[in-house]
Amino acid sequence: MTNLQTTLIKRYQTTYPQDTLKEVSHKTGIQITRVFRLFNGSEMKISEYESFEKALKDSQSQNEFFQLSKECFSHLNQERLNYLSAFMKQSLKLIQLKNDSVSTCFETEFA
Amino acid sequence: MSYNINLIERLVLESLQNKPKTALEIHICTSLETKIIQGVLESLISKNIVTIGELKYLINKNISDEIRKELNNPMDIKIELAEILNSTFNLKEESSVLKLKKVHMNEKEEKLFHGLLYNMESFLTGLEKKQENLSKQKVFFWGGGNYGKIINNYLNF
Repeated sequence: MTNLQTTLIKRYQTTYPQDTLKEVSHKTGIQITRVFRLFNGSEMKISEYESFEKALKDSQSQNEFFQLSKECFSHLNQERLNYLSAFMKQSLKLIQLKNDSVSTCFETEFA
Repeated sequence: MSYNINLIERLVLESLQNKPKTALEIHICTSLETKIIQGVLESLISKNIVTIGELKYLINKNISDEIRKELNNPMDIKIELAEILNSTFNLKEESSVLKLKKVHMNEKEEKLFHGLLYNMESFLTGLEKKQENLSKQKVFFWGGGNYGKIINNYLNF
């Protein structure tokens, strides 16, 4: 295992100490058996290295977001909080609308 | 708890304003992806804002006062406007502009400005309302206020 790979896996394990192999696989998109091999010294491909980096980056922005949310909740007045909540709800709704699956009746209608 | 109506749902409702439509007609009218239209319709139907009649989607004329109130929630309207401004700001086309000016105006200039604004509004109101393709419509917004009051309001929000 290269130094770079060891450092990356250590960083990952420090960030997500509780993760099972299944959870690592879910976060990185790498197959569970491959994750097991990587953790046991098998050499990483560049794409796998990038997947781990991405999972770590996601964690950082997630932490920042949660930290910021906590601070907002402690310091902002109710009106501002309502405004931010409404903004978040709308953003979420937009994503849900974009991701919702197409029902059969609708497919028929468009056919 | 408000319904949190967004720009896309508003567009679909606007497409149904004049007459009921099939999903395909809504697609032609709005240019929205079919998948998104389906999600919007499901959401609007679940709230009883849109109903289905004779295989077409139509706006429920008997929306409850509670839902009507939710649809006109000032906070959601504020967010909707902010999203329009944000999206316009992000547009890279030459024809899309977002301008803001801070100026001093005396009473006479302010009257003149309001006269110009009135003319512009009359012009826009007088334009023929076509229902062919809503996505081809142009969106304009205007407004203004006292800088000090705007800042004061911002500080107290």
